[in-house]
Amino acid sequence: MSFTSMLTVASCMVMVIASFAATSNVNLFLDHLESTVGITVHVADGLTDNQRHLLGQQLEGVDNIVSIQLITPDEALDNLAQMWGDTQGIFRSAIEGEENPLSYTFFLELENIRLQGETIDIISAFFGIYTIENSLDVAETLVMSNNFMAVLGVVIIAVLAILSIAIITNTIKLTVNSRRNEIIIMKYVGATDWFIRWPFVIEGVLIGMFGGLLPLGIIWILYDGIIDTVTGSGLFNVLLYGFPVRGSMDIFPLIAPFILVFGMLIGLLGSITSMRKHLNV
Amino acid sequence: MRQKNISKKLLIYVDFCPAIIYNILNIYFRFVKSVNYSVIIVKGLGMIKVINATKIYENGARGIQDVTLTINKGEFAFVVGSSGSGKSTLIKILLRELDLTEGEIYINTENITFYNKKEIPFLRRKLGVVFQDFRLLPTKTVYENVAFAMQITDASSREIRRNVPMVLSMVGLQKKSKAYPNQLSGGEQQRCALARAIVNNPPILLCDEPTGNLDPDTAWDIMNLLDEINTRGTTVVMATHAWDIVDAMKKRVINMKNGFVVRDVEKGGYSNDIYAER
Repeated sequence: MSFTSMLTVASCMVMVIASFAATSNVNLFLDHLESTVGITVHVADGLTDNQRHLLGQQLEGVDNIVSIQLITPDEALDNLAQMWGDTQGIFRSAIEGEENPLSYTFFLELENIRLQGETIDIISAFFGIYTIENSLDVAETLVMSNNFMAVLGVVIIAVLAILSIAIITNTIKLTVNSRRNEIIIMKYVGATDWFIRWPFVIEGVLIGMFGGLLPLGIIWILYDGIIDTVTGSGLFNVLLYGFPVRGSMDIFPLIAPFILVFGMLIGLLGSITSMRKHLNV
Repeated sequence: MRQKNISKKLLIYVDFCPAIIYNILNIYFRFVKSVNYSVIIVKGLGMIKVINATKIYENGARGIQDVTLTINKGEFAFVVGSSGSGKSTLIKILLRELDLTEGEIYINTENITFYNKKEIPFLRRKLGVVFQDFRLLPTKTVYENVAFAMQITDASSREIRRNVPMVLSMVGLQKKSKAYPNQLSGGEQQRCALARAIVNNPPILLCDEPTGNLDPDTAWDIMNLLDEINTRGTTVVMATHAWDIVDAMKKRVINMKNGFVVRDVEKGGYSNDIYAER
């Protein structure tokens, strides 16, 4: 019966741990997406090298800007040509001999995508800027998605945790019920409530502890293999190439103490509450 | 809700008290000191005194009604009566498994009527108890079942090693000490339960139909053991239906009917009109 209880605890914990790992990766994915959203600043024509350098220094001085990258007109043209892919020869021959119409541009990487509007307001005042390309809509969508996923993750884990508590306490109650005669006999021969309760409490705590540690250990061991398999698959390469994934050491050391305490607490509460009625003899 | 019965009673703890002293004390308090005390003579360890005890269950059923009796140290008393007469209720009340609705109970000079939850285990250690269905711990051996009753009293392992084999030998189970309850016959299980009940040397042994699940020969084995335990000074109170045993043993008989004590004789049979109750 105790082994069954431990397996029930383990099954519930598997869901909690897997949800945590999945939520953690989704949040990382969205954070990465956010970091790719930046601001492109087109420099006005006719600026001297010094003036461009000064503008670069001003941009670097803005709080929310993590890094700036200066793209020359030639580099911009190259980038444009590369977008033609295998047919870039056609593009290059079409513009050959023409004056490069592209200007110097700065690509700004932001620390906090949510402050994009305020950052644009600041840099708009700088001298030498022709135009600023922003992605406020994308940023807003990403921020909303990230917030939604964070809340969803917490809700999923909370619901699973509550379900786990219900299932686990019921299983422990069944364990205690199966031994109610034993408890009653102990009461008749003069055992105090705590003398009877202690072994059950210790058993409950151990059921919770091992029921938590067992799935944690198994998922921890399997996690990296699963991630390698998923990220190595063709579909993932096509859809999500280059996106980061959390390693096992980023997740499990963080969640281990929580799972341990959670399991032990459930075991403790489950055994104490389920014993109460049997002790009234 | 049960009300605490604050009656004016003076308990005098003595091992021996002739009736004349009892009467002199009563007269002294009532008429010389003008105090409305009633004197109750209480003997030493092993004594049970039930005073005006009534138990009414939550559904209104009456378990026992206005029961007053004293069972003295070293006495062997049968509690007899038909099913529902209140025998088991009386045993449960003595064990404090049930609370009294009215009245008081004294065990070994202590008023146990209002013992709280924490005091009850310590009361039960002073009372050996044997049930019809043996109530042995199925996962423990005979030795461990008996030793368990000592472990809960914080007895040292040395005491346990000394006392348990002695008691098992007394009940004839020394060769079965490593057996589990499901490997024993009914009689052996009851002997094990008896060994568990007496291992702490309690002054009182309560038995609720201890021979009810046993064949006649085995039942007599158990009765002989109970008689032996009684001759060593332990007060034995036994609720039973076994009229043949009661008639043969010629011990005190407390006859209950509808919760009342209807007959209490020093050395009697199952009933006066012996076949009427069977």
